[in-house]
Amino acid sequence: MASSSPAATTDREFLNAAPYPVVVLGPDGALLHSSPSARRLLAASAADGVPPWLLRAHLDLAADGARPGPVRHAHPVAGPVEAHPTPRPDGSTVWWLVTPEGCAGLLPRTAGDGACDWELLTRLSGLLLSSLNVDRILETVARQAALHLADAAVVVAPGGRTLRLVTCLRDGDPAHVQVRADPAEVPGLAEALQGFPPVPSRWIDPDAAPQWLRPAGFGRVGSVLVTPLPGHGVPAGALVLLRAAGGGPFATEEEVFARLFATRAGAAVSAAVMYSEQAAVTDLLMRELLPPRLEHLDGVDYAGGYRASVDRDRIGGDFYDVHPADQPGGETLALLGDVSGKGLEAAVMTGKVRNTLHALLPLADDHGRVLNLLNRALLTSRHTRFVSLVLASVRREDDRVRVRLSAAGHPAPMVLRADGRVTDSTTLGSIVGVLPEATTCTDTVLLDPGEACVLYSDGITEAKGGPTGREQFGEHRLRQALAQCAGLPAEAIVERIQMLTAQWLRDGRHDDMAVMVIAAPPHGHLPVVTGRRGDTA
Amino acid sequence: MSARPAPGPRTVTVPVEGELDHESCEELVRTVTVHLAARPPVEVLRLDCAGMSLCDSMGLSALLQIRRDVDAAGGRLRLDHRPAHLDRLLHLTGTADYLLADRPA
Amino acid sequence: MSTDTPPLTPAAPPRGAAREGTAPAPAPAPVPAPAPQVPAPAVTASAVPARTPAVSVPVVSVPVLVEQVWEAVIGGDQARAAALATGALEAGLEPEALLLDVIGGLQARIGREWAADRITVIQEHAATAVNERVVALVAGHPAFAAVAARQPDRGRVAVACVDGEWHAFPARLLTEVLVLRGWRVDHLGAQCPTPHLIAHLHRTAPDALALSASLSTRLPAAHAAVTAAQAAGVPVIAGGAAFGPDGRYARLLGADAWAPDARTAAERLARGLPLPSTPHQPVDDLPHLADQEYTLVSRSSRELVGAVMAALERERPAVRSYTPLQRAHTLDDLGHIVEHLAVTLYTGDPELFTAFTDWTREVLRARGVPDALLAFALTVLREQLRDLPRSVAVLTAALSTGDAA
Repeated sequence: MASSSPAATTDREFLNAAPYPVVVLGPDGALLHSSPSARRLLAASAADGVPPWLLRAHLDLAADGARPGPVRHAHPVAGPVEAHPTPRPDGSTVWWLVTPEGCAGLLPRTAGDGACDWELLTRLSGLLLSSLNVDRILETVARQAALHLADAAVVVAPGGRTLRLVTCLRDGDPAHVQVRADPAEVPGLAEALQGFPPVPSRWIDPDAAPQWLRPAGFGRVGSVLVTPLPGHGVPAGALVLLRAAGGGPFATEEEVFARLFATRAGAAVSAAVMYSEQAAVTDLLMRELLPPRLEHLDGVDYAGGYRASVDRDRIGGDFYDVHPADQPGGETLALLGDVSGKGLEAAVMTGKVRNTLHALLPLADDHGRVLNLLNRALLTSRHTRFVSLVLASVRREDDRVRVRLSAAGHPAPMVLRADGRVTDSTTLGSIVGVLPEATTCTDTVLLDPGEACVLYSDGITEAKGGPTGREQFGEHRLRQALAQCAGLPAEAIVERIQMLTAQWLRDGRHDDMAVMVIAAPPHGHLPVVTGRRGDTA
Repeated sequence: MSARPAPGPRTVTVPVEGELDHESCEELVRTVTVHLAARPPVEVLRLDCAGMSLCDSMGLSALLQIRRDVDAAGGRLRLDHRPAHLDRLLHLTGTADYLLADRPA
Repeated sequence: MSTDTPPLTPAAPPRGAAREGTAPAPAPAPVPAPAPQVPAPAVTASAVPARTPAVSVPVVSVPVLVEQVWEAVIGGDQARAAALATGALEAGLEPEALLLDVIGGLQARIGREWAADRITVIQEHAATAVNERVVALVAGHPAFAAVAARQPDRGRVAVACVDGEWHAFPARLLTEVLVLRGWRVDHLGAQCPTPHLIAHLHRTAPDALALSASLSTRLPAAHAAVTAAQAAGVPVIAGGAAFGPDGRYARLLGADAWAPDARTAAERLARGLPLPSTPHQPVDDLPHLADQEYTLVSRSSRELVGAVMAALERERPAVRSYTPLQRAHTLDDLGHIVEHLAVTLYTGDPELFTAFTDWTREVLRARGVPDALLAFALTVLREQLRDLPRSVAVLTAALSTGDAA
């Protein structure tokens, strides 16, 4: 017949690329051609050749002669299959076997309502992937497993001698439990926790399930299924499914489905574990690098504000600190600086600068010496990263506040007078950490009540935005903004500057931006004692 | 950034165009490194800053690195046609003497 | 804005540049803020018996206290404001009543005073700073800790302002109220970048996120935060003027709950929010975004502002003679108009823009700016956007209410 002719063979080769399994049957029902996917699909039910249901439909078709319609069949593995016939002029018929998309003829099914489990699995995967919090995901695994796979589920997290369990009854809420128990009491659990393949349910004696494995309110156990949660290389725990007595054993398809679910659950748990470990480390390191909360100190108001260049980060290349005097009547050392560059690398260097300056506090009388020692500590042949900063030694003298300012390659602080005049301090010096010597000349400023000294990083004045989106905020706008802030509390000045620069930027790209205000309190001042709760950030 | 070999075999001029910031500074340092590695060695490296529209702290860091590299190679560095903003930056940061000195300090 | 001081819906003024003279004013808050002169009628249960013994301070009524603290706050007298607050606590006023009825009420009043041009934006900053210090003082007072210690542990909540939101004060009040009621609160504060917020939610898995926004221009950012938090498995309760007086925008953006004030928010949280079920994308909530008008207008906002400014300078001699500062303010104001148009296109609710222009008109009148300038700007804008049907409809509606007014 035509199958022997080379032309016809070529003619049918193209069917191999069809998106659905396809077979070509002769008028008598002989199999003339089948695509590889059709062979996989049909082999699952009929050992060889054409399955009876398709043969029957095909022969009915030939006898009928009417316009052929599709034939539906419930495939034991693949689920619903629709067979669409297309008669050919030579008397043969092409049968297109339409299976649910993506199933590729190998769909597991549960014994449940018969819906396509691929959909369920997709939905469950979505739920599992939504969180990066380990506890949340363990709860989701337990809840969904109890809802769809069994009467109750227990997720066992890997750990030391104490087992951490999340248990859930069907339609119940997950509960976290800790037990001191040996996982080996449950057949297959110790192995599953090490990532070994599951033990078939029928091998596990349900009566051997220890009490601690049974969620509160769960009666006699009918069958048990233990499945490992494979993580990214490391086991992420195990999933134990429980069926109540009388519910029958877990079928093979259910075990297959549980394994598919566990693969996804394990990946989600494992990703969350990695994320939370990393987040904990980052958090710990970050805490050291975050700018401190500033407040009233020895009769002087301090306020600071910081916005990192990368909005995801809270740290960057700018920094500020206020170190109280070590004795009454001494000078407080306030400082604000900027490490070249941005992001984490810059932040790490700010940590080094801040620690070094902290250690140099006993020498803070002599700004030049502090800057030179810092310069020496930072100087390296490996790179030319540098820091620019302003040191401010601050002391309250009666009503007034005396501020000794030394800039090192940094914009000179502005001074806001009670009448709204804004002047620049005259301090000027070289950057620190790259030149052989650091030089500076110090300027002293006296603040009357209600007056303020404003330290800022160039991220503020170089913020690009405005009506055109390309203009820098500039010193003159900063000066104008400050002129309107006369008499304001230190925090309000900081807030005002941050707000104006944010409005200027809109959504534009920006460098790290830091501002610190040192203010002589106005009359009627309210010193706030803080330190309540864990307000450490 | 491309180099124009100037008259006299051992002087190279590298133009600096646009913003010298964290995005562009690495390329400038690399370009200079390539010239410094050339044989015969470069004697005078000229950075033509006429087209520089901005120099931020990373840009300054790059200039300092170039100064170091040129010094180490025994060459001389010139920053030509400096715009006002660059001179202001060098003044503010106290780097003018170091960067513009004819020979290493 | 109701007079019973909704602390989650501040009538705080738009924190725009200081206004002077003829420049049209910005008005990021969409909610018209008429300016009743009387202080908030206080809750009648003004004082409860003192728990701390041997306090001889006379029991104060909340309305009287509000008036006294107002005088102190507006005069920048921090010491007096603090003494009044601690005095009231020690006289037995509940910390929550002090925070919400007194301090929250003042904050709302500051906004009304600004809108009516009775205080400057700088005074507003100063008053807010005093208020913030008083809140810190109250939160640090032993009476506060005593109340909080009596509550059962209710769980963990994150309180955050939307990215780009500067009105941190309502969120701060909510935080303190929730602490008083026994919650563990992570206060993420103003201007919280969404990526940072989401990282925090993943790390801590709180029972809920309370999201505050008072500027309606931040609604798209709020939407991103709501969907991202829900995708992370955290339900969201929204609050603040941005979500509309009836919370309509909270519903529109798919928030799990909305509260008009801090008390309601605390009560709603106490009942528990269900876990968000199916994650959704912003466009699922707002199919009209498919017409791209929002994207087009927000992306070309700078060009639009430039075009309107050019037209103003061409057609209006008064604008031609503006000082550089007045010109800068006018550019700001035009920017606000375009921003509000964009967010109106985002939400698909023309009323948002009409409410904004009505409010702007009021603010301008208080500052002696003729209505015609605003109408002219809207007309030029409509001409610029003539190819975008939704934009034209929104601008036409705003122009017609202006005619009627």
